[in-house]
Amino acid sequence: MRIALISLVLLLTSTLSQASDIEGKVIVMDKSGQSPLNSNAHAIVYLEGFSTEPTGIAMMDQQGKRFIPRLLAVVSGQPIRFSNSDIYQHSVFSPHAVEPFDLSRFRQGESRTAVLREIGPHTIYCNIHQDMIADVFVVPNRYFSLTDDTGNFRITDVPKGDHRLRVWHILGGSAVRSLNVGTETLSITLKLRSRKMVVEKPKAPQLSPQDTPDDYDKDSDY
Amino acid sequence: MLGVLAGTFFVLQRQIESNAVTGIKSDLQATRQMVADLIEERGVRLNELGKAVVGSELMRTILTDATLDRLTSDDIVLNEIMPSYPQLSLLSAVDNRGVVRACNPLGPNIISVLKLNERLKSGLNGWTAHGFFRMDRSYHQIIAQPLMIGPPERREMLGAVILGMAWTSRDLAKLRHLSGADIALLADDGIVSSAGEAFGSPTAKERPDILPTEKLALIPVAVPEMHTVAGERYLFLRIESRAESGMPTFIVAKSLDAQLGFVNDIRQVMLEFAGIGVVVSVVVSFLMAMGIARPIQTLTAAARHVANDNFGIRVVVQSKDEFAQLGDAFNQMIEGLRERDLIRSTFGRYVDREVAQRLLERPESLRLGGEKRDVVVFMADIRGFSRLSEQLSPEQTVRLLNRYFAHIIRIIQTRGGVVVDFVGDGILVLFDPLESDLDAMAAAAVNCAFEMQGRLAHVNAEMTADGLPSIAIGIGLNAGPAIVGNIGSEERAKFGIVGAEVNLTQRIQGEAKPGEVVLSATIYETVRHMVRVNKEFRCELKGFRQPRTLYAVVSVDEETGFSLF
Repeated sequence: MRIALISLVLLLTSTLSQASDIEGKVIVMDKSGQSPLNSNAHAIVYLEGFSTEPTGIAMMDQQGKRFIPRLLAVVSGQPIRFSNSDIYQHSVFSPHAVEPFDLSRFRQGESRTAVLREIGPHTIYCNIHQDMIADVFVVPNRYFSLTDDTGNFRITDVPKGDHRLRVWHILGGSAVRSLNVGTETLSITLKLRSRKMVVEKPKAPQLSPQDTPDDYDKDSDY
Repeated sequence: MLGVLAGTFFVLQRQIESNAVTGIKSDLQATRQMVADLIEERGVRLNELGKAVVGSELMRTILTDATLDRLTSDDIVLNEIMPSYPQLSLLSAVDNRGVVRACNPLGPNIISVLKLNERLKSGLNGWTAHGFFRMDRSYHQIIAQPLMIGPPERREMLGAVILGMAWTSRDLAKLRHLSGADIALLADDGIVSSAGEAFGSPTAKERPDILPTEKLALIPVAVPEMHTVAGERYLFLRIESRAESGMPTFIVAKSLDAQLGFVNDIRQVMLEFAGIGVVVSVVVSFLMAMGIARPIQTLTAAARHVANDNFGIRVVVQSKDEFAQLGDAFNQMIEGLRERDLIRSTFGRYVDREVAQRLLERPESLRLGGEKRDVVVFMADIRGFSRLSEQLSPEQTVRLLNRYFAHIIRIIQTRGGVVVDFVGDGILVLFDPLESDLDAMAAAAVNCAFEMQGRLAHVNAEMTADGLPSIAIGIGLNAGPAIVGNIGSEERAKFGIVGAEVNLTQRIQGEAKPGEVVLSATIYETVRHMVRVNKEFRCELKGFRQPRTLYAVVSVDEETGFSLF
């Protein structure tokens, strides 16, 4: 009850103090630091140093032998529901050093729930399908954002004041930036260097307006 | 023949050796290819094993589960995973931060190995990498395979799995069995492992016979090079190493002498045949020589017999060749000689041997007719022989005469005289100066007379012993012209001398008393220096008008009765 009251006070305070947004772009380089990845997605940008109560249930599905999404952000203590949309059985386990869990196998349509509190990435795997991997990133508060393919992110309604912003990417790249959030929207760019190797499929060719799919068909003759 | 065979064999041997070298070069190139293929095949195998191991849930667990301690991870690798892959000598898991999460206890410090190996280092960067590393006395071919996870469009690397297969001496022995070439793995500090005599015994610590490391390292890559190891010629070839991968240097070698073993066998057989050939040649030559020598020895022996006047011998040559013809010719020759000897010996009994010899040697002298020349005529006669013979039986008479003549004829012949005729107990002798001057013949005749008189004592001693009476002879000598030649008809002729001097000699001889030697003045003048005159007398001789002065002489060495000459 006390926590809920404090949260309400903070929310009202930020509203009253005209909280602003943090937006920006995260560029993720490969392990060599020489080339950007094809996609800048799967990075989480969040603020450290204070907590908020979690709300709602986070969802992680398993479809086509993949965890969806690849990176799930949850506020510490927020229940996570792992569902199975595949026709196969799946399991979910995490070999986390502090907070490991194993949800054993469950069938299509079934789901399991887990709650994680340890801040940071919890990599999860399926015991049955070796290639399945995902990360559940536990953040301390609701001020976080996940990047899209281009690396853009936006954290809204960030209270005024000094904050520490952290970025983490699923390939291990991370960065920390101290910010002073005022009334204006803050725009920052962050560049990460991956710690893990990744092999990406080449980007699909972008069709220019004058091109037609037939042209590519012709090219494919080569 | 043997020389031709030896030459042919030498040329053939060189040709075979050249072909063998070419064959070995080809074999070594094939062996090199075999080694390369095996390395590649092992690479493929390691890749397959790597994929299998990387797909293992256990390996992913090792790389993802932070709660697993190193001991447990090592135990999983050694006892859970490796038993399924007995070909592997090394299995290790390294996470994407380069931390070794697990390794079988036989494995070295794999991180230091990877750091030393440029190519393998890339195994930690997401690409499969091949290479080698050395551990003690063996090399390991290894592969670093990244363990990736995630959907196909974005495979994330969890870490890398390192797998290794050993290149042991047994592997090299198998390669040697397949290729027929000796093989060794060479490191900077020497041979690490080997199979085959070219690199010595792998168990022997001291291997002084093999090539030193620095020489092995300089063996060419393209063309095999010949070296002698323990007295055996080998062709060596180095297989180019790829230093960046840590691949060791392979040296392959093949023995030329072992390849040419059959040539040595042929050489041995040829030597044996040559030896037998030499022996057979010697034996055949000996037999052939004997075949030639035997008839020659037979002919030589026969010739010696013939030289000793043995004409009864016959040569028998047991063959049908030219030696048989020679033997026949030799026999014909012996027959001819035998007839001639018969003639000569028979003739010589009736005429003087000297005369017979002269007639045989000079057939032209057989012609009838004579030649007048100065000769010495000699006549001797037994004194009182008519009266003596009346007292003796005919056999005794003949025996007495034969004994007497046997002695004096031998003396006459020795002195060079020719018995021309016998007249009862008298004898007519010619001293013909055909090959010397008249003085010499006169001296010979006088000496002959003295010797005959001297010998008579000896003859008489024999006579007495034989129950025969003693005899005494008178000798007359003269010198002068006489006709010497063949006298008679074509059917019958005899050698003789005629002329007044012959008659005169007979008269002079008639004047000689028993034991005397009487000379005409002509001959005395010639030999006076060698005689002493006992009696000089002048007498008339029957048939001659003028009286003649005659000299009864004795030798200056009267005592012995022998001539001083």
